[in-house]
Amino acid sequence: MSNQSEWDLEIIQDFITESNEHLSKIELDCLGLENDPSNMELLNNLFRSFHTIKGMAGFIEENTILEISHSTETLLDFFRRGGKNVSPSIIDLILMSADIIKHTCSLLTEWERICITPEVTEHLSNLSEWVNLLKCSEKAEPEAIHLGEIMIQEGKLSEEELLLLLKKQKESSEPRFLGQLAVLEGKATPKQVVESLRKQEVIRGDVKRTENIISSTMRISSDKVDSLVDMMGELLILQAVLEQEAKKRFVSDDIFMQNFVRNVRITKRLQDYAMSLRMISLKPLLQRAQRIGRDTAKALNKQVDVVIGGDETEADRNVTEKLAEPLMHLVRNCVGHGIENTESRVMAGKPEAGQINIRAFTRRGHVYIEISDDGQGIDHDKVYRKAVEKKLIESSKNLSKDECLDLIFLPGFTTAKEVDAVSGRGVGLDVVKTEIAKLGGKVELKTEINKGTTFTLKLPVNLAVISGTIVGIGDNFYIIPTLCIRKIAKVSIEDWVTIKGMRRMVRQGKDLFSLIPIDKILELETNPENLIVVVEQDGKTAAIPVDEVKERRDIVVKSLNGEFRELGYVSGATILGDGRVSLILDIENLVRMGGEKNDNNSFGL
Amino acid sequence: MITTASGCKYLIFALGNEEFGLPIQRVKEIIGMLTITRVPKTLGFVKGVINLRGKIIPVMDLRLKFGLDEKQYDERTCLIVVEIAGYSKLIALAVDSVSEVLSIQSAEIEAPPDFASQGESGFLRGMGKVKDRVLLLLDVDGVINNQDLVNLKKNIDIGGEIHVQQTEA
Repeated sequence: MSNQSEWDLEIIQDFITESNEHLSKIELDCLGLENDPSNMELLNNLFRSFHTIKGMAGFIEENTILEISHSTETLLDFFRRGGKNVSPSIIDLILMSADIIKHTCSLLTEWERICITPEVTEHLSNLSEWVNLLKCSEKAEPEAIHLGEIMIQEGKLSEEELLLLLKKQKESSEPRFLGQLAVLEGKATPKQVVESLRKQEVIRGDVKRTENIISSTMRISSDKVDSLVDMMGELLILQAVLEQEAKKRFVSDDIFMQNFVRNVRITKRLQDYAMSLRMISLKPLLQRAQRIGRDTAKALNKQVDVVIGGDETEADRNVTEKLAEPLMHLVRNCVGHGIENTESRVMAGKPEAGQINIRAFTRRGHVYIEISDDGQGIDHDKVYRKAVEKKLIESSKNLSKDECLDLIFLPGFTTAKEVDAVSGRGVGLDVVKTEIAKLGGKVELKTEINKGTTFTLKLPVNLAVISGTIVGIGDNFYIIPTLCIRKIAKVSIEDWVTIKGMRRMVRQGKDLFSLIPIDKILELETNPENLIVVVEQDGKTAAIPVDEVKERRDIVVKSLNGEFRELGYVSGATILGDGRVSLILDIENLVRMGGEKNDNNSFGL
Repeated sequence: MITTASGCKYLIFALGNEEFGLPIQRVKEIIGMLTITRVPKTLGFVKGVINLRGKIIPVMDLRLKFGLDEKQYDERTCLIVVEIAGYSKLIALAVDSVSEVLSIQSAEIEAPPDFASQGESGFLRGMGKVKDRVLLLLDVDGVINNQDLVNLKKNIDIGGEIHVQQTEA
């Protein structure tokens, strides 16, 4: 495999992409089949998927995959033709095949020499053993494909009648279907024919329909889509510059302005389309989570039903990709820690099988994924004691219930007594939290002892365009994400609350908001004092004094050079209508650093 | 490297009374001054960020970087946009003025004086002597990678004392 030309590489890439699509479909179908073992359609799907993989593997001469898919296909064929129900052990076998193929695919890109490992050999012999077993038990049932045969099998037609009909069909001047003839000749009712046709369709596998679905989508390299989105961003920025210039030169009913406004509208739609190209369904992700949940439960000998919902939800590809690891981790965590073993569940009066719900939905520019279990919940006292024991916190600290629970996100925290394959290594929830935070999202936790636990992941739908409010502070304009703004208010001198000579809070009617010391953060000489923007982040509020609020518009988020990334007050930048760069304030960080508690201000002022 | 038989081309610019040279192949473009957006809480020589045709890139003031006095930007002030090695990212260097591109033979280049090879002056590649001029030839990576790129920021400790973070180069 040393002299791989680029052409080969491309073919291999295509193979991997396509295989992965089929593999995720296989997983889904397997899980479906496990719940509904008599579902012929799923069985057919599985058969076809393996068949396709086999064909492709033959083309690129990848023998491991070829053999595995061939043997699995043979196995499936027995069930398919025999119309038999598939047992869970067979499902395991099929999933195992999928895993091996997936693993082999991942090696393909690295040009590693693929050899048939003992694992593969063992699996292959398992498969052939099953096939032999089935062969023995199988009575030679002919494959019923023709409609006539089906109708005979179902007792709707006698063999003589069928022969007669076939003869007529041949002699007839105009081409007719057998079903039509049967109805015309009064041998069967239309309803009977339709029933038999359905059955035939299932047996044949409705290949045609699948082909139609495939042809309505196309595969584009993600680089192209990314460039398109980037270019759209540039276009929006340029348009904002033009708009500012045009407003100076033309009156609003000038023909130029009218056309310009139309242009703006078209660009906006174009932008939406471009963004939607990068939106991908969360379905594969949720399915993977479901699979992980199932496997983990098996490994731990627990009974767990994993139900997924909202799989039509979409999110930016970049978000979805990075979401996988944290999500898998949480699911494993739920199965491992959340769900009790069967005896404890029965004792607690719960159904034997634990239930894990994974639900995705969109709300106000964010994607939410909820992972909830009906397990034992998290005891905040236990968490607290554990954290003290592990010396993660000092024992003297007085923490609220929620603060105790937050401790499980600390690095090195684990309550499992022993290290096992599933969980308990103490790396985990802290990684989940940081990964999600990197995406600009956050993890929330709700738990009730003996009722269950819900983790909620909250993420931005896309990372490229947000609605921003432009505010003037000092001599610069800054952006506050509009979704964070609760209100904008005028304040007078007597509204300020001064502590030790420093303005620390601002009064608004009955409310008192702690103040983010924006003058210190932005190194300003003076602090604006007439206008505040009250921002809210996860239920915590704080006020930012500003000099002016300019306008609200969709802004294109540009990440700052890596070197600036650790500036706590800024999350990115954008380019304003006048071509100047404007910094986007990181409200979450600002609120966290400055606004959370009035008495325990971490600014140390 | 665009090397002639025995030398290399340098973009010559001025800071105060001194003339400096940057290897031309590292220079992406030269532009006039643009509006700079200040980024608070960064080191003094980081002037902020500019919009270079839709790209947001940082601006470093070479005067301040080399410990010279600050000078008001005027119509002669130029931004030299260079690529940061290995990052495929750009950074703009603000200089007093840009004069010419000179081909300097390697015979005309002397090693930097010993006192300059350490610490602050580690970004000198050599001294070019062309006729009666002395040109300080800069090592681009020495200038921008020396310590500051990972460290354009001051330690964030809002409201408290400002610590300048120093990492080993």
